Amino acid sequence: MICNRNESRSSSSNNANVPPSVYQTIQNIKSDIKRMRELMNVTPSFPGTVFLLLSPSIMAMHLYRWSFYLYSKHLHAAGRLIWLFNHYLTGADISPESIIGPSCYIGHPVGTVITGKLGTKVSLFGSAILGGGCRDESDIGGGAGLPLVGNNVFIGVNTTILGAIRIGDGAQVGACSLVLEDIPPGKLAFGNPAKVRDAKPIDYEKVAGITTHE
Amino acid sequence: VFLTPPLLCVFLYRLAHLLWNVNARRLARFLAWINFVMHKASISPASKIGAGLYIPHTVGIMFHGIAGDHLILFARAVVAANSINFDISNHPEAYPVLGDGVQVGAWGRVIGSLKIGSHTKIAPYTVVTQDVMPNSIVFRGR
Repeated sequence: MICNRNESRSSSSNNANVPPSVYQTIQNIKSDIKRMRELMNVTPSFPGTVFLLLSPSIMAMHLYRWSFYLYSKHLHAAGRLIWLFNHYLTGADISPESIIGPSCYIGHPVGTVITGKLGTKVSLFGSAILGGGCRDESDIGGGAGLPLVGNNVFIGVNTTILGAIRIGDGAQVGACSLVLEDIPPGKLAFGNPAKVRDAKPIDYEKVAGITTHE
Repeated sequence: VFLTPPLLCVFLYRLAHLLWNVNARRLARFLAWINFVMHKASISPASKIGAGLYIPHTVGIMFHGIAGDHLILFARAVVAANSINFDISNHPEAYPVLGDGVQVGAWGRVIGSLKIGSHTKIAPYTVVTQDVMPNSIVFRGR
């Protein structure tokens, strides 16, 4: 499943070889907002939408999308400028070279560092660090020595993912863990350094007092 | 290039340290405060750092101590004393002393009065509370 991820990724809108158009960038931003709305249970109203657009998690993704657009059009200075503005405004250091798929959610963007390649529907929580490039310089698709993250991945608070590693589709990374090795798809990993375990889906009906949907 | 956070942060620290050395301590603390607000990196103006300091991601950096040349602080590295009640001019022995060419990995913490030898690499997510010999790699065992 890890091997054929590149083929499945090529169907999504963000491909490394094809720079995104303005329409795709706007569609990606819309998908981010839609994901945030689903997660936050915000009904599409006017003040709710304004607060959603002003929230740092949407702002960071919004600014990243435009910086990535400009960077992929070889307007490196403009892309870097938006990256800089993003860094000072929200505290998120999302490199314009990194490729993030649509409907990504960043929980609390202060201290978040993202370099590498992420799939669709990735959830990142407070100050997750994705990067590396110092240990080995091998390229697996995310860039030299940078991680490659699949679709539907959950990355917990204060997690650090370093080096050229693959994180499979639907994998979960626990809070405060250091990931230095590959995680197979659909598995749970946590600890320092992270160990892979079988993920159990949360049964919300058993948990008292929590209702997911009305 | 000079506007990028890694360089501006180091530049502001150098300016603050210069002002600290000529006894303009209020101004030095103000520059350190600006550095903290802008980059979320609290580098004390009293700390001495040699040439070639590099901080790739400034958010969450904390540095208070003495270091040699070519120090690299990766994201969220903390180098500090056990307590913040000491002043480095009064109690220099309370702060860590780092040699040349030290690398502190992401979330690495160097805490307490200790000496770290030259060319030491501290792995990510490692807490160091003891002296470290030169040319070594510190990491947490499995």
